[in-house]
Amino acid sequence: MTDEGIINLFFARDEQALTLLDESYGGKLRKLSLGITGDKRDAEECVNDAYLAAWDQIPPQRPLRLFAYLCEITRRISLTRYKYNRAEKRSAPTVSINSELEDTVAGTVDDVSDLGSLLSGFLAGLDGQTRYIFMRRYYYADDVAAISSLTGVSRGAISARLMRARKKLREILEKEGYMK
Amino acid sequence: MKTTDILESLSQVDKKYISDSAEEEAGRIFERKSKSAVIGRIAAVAAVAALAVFASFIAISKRNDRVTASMIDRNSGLSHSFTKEEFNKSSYTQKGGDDGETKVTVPVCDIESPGDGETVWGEDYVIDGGSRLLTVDRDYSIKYDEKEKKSWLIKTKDGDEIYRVEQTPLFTDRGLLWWKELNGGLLVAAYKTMGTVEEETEASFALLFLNEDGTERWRTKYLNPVGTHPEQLLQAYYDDGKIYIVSVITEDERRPVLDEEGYREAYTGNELCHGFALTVYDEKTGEMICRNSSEASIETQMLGVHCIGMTGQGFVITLSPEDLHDEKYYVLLGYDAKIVSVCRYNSNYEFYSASSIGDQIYLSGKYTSYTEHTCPMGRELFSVIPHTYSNYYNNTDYYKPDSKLTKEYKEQMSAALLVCDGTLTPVKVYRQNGSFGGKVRAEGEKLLWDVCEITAAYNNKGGDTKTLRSAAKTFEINGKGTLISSAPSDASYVMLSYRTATASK
Repeated sequence: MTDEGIINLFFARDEQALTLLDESYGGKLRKLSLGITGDKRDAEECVNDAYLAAWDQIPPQRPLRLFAYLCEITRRISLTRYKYNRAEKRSAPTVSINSELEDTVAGTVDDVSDLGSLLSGFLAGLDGQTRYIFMRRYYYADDVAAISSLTGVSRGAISARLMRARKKLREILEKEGYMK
Repeated sequence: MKTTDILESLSQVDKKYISDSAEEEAGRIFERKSKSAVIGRIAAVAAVAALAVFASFIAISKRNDRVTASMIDRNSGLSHSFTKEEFNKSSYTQKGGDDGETKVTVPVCDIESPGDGETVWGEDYVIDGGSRLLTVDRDYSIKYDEKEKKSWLIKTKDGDEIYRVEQTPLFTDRGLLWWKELNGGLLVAAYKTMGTVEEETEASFALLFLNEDGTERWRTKYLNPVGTHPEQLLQAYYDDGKIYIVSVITEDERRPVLDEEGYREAYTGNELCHGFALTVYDEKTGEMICRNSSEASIETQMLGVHCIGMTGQGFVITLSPEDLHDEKYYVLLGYDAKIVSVCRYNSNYEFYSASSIGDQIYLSGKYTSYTEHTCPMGRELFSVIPHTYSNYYNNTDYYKPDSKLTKEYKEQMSAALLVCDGTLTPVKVYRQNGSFGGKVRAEGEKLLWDVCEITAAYNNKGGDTKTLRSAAKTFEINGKGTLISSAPSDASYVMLSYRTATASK
């Protein structure tokens, strides 16, 4: 069924919408959440919470891109879960995407206002391929191997591009006064 | 600012960056400059299909010529010849779905054998598993309540018993599941199976690390490794103070059956692969450092699941699916327990040892020129003999020099070393006739490949199994995948061959 059809089922309050949603996007969303939370059970719960949130929000909302809309909700819930696990020092395994960014944010101020705009500017300055790789890694939480498989670029080259992009982001943070 | 602030703020960036980075956009942004694309461009420019075919032939030949020229070092003194082989590489999704088959033309380097070696009857080297430090054996002599009570024993090289695990009667089954020599000690996995009134069993296992004198360095408590699915330990590796335990998570297969009440779901008794887990322990204390797992629904026979090597890119696991009698899946499991790739190669090849240098993964095994239907011996499967049993098969009564069986094996089997990129895609193949591949192992910047020239093949006492004995030599390969030299080795590898049920058709 098309996204439009699924959304129509949401509007009709037909619970079949959730089943179809899971069949269409469940695997990808769980992968996304797993990349952030690092825990299969957490990922499962986050995706279920995302479905519930979608059920509550549609209607009145009518997303133009259903998958992107679900990704956004799943990311938000997964990040909240990750922070909760980490704050409570629960046994969440190391999440490499966070550890990769630690050098980038080291020594920065606590104020993160306007960070979204700064990141937009940063992404605009990247070439298309590097921007794609950066977003796959830090927005969709794909691992390097998955990005390599998706793009046909070797894993070493992807790691190198990510490293250069993080370095560039760090330079922009420094330039824009985000350093202590 | 925290790292999560960056991740959260990425949701606030211009939406076009989010939509442009969807999976389906990859093809547009990363226009693949594959061989077929190059050929396609040539064809478009020339507007002559024949010219395109010719151009592709030239392109492949040139590429392969460059590769073959760098396969054997000029000073190695090894006679060889080059051929090309079209290699079918099937890729599968993590859920086991077929993503289609691609054909890769791979240069093959056939190394000529320098001559017949002499069978080595000495101490066996085991390709994987087992220990030469301590001996693990079973004691069937004790009876308990008219039920056979088995004990697992661990002995020193002098035969002194230092450790014993006994089964308890009735519903509890205990024993040693697995053992391996690691860093001067013996890592042992002990299992405990609890029966219930429904006759279902729940297995748990504990790890214990024994010193050479049998004293315990540490042990873990018995764990039911995962919540809802049982888990089988495949292999353990040691690296830099950490012990890596690779295991397969299984599930019971259920299928609809028709009975008096109509269709209902029932257990078939088969186990299916549900996924894999990687658990890392501290070698000094036995404490668990981390544990990750991933899903991979592949229909497979659990007896056919093996972890054949630890590489820089991850762990190579082989699976023998039920519906593919002569082919195997090769799964590359990353250090985060995520599946990097799942491949299936030509059925003539079978690999049972893996290692890596730099970006390349090397798989060692065998190549057979016959197929199930043409093999005069029937189709053979091969396995590595656990150390405990290797002496059992060292039965020279059944060995006849220059036997017909030995001749058949020598004619139809070659050792094979498949050089792959970091995702298990074939790049080139080394082969030597009349041999089977032993272990492949990285030492510094070099790769050592033990090749075993078949010197004796004989039927074992009872059953369909046969033993293949060999004289081994070690090839040295540099970091660029070039074969540099070979030297005789005093190592002796033993391989067990057995016929499958399909061979009797």
